[in-house]
Amino acid sequence: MYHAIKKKDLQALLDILNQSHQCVGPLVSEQTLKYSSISKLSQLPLGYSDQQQPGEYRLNYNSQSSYYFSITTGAQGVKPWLFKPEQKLWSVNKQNGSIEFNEALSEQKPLAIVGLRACDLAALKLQDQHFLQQQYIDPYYAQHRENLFIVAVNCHRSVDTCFCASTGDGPEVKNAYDLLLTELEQDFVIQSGSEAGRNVLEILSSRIPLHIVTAEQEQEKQQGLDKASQQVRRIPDRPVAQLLSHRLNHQQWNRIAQRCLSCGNCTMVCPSCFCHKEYDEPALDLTGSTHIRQWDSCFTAEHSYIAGFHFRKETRQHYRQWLTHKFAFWHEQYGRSGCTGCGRCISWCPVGIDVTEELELLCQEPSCYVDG
Amino acid sequence: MMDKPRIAVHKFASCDGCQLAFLNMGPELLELANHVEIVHFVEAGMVAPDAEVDIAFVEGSVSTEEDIERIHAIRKLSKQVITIGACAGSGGLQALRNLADGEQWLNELYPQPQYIQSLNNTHPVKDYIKVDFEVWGCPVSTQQIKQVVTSLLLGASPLQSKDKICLECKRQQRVCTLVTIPTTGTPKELENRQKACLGPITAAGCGALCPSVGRACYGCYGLADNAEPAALARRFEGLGLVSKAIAQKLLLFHSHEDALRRAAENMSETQEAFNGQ
Repeated sequence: MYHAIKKKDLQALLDILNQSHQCVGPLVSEQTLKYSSISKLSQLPLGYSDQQQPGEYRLNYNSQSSYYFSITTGAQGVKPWLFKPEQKLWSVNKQNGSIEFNEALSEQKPLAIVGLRACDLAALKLQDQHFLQQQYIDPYYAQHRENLFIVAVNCHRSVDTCFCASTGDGPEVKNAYDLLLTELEQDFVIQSGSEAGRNVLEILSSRIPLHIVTAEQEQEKQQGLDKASQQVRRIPDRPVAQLLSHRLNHQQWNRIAQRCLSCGNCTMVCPSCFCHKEYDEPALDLTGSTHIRQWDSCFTAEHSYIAGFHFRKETRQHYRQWLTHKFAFWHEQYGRSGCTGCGRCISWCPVGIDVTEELELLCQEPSCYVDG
Repeated sequence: MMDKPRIAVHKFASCDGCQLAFLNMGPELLELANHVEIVHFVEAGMVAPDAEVDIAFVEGSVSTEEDIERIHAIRKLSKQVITIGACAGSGGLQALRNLADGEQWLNELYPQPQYIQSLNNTHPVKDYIKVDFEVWGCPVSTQQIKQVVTSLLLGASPLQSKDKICLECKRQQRVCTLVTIPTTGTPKELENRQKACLGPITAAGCGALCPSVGRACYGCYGLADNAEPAALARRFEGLGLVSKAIAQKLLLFHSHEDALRRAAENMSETQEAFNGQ
């Protein structure tokens, strides 16, 4: 069942969420989009939209626009809120000749996040697969995930780096949401996708008028989604996973290595990348230490250092590892590709390496490439 | 109880900034003093350059004949030698003179050059003696010093991560200065489009200090592991920087690093950049 609400009435939803949750949303900060605490509608980036190109990100402002959600993505979506860039895992203290380990998990207010897109939510499902696997539940991820309340937003536009339509993950949000908003010129269409979402919608209906969606509104919603589906980039319509795993010595890997900085930015902004490392921080009084988990990347030297040996020394190998894991070996691991088409790795690559273009070159028909 | 490990802090050609990382600990320095005996640290008032120690921290590059003798003596007196900072690690700013004719500079800069007793080239400590551990930075941070000292006191190897600044920057959700094009702000901010940031080739450890205030990293923490300076130099050309400016950026702090030199030498006009022609 869909309803429509006036744009100003979104404030009522923010009020409800803020009562019980730490509520975060997409705000403009330092020339880009960042998810930060939000309580007022006026904090949302009314009139702002993003323009993204390989290695380029900029925000534009239009004072005539009535849209709050025209910025598609910033460098991060939901990932840093669940899989934290730095997470204290435990601490250990020396006491009277014995050592004592202490859990670092502490009671936290549940999180509500407003503004996530279809690509973000598809990636969230991939992270769930990784961090909530059978008996191997990651308690630090699970803590925020279990009570996470998601207000998703359908995209009404795409930027040049988007390719979710070709991965099948967008632009329409299909699952993993509690509430889903579609922004129209004058209104929001709002729908629930879970028990928790229905409950919030019911509370909302007692505070503001919920209108039945008209045929015109339904049409406008569809037009927005159709417009967002018009994307200039796509992943090749070929068996990418099989082709990549048979082309580990393709010349194109060397050409990529000419440009790739091995800086790891693509993995940091990728909403599905989950690699991390752990280290200890000893206390100065030498009575204990804290064990910390930190985002890592397959592009670091340390990441490929095992038993006194760097088994991936060259940039060519680092990039190949990332791309083949994401697009080939992820299938064996999790039953699908690890890419949801958000395009962040293209925009935030300092040298503008375009993953769709590289896949195209790597997966061309055999007659066009030289293996060796 | 075992005797407390003995520590010395030595200074060579440098600005003293890295030694401040010890003094800036404040009250924590007193806590540290419960676990170590600081026997030589001129800036803090202890003078015993010839004492045997467990750990010698060395700041600065080797720049004179006397420095050469002194660094060998320190090696003999110390169980472990740890360099702190860019100067000790790779020669630092003053190693820029290695790219030029030191003799000529001496004659041009000093009215009576015969009183200056410096080597034509200045060198990192590792060019003369075995170094057990290097702490990078310009200057190094108190956090790094604490990490190294506490690890050694606990009998563990100190962490040696030379990941790129980019990882540190992204973990803090900082805005990439190399990618983001400002569209609002003062005319000066708008004029600054994408910045030539050295973060993608520079070792982490500073907490992405410069990018976190919207400035480009200028590479003071030294070259990261598996860095690609030549590829970054090509990107800077795309930003409109001329070869000379790129070479100067790459070589400012760590001109002694082979990989940086090779990348800079591949840019044309590099020689002019350093000979001021």
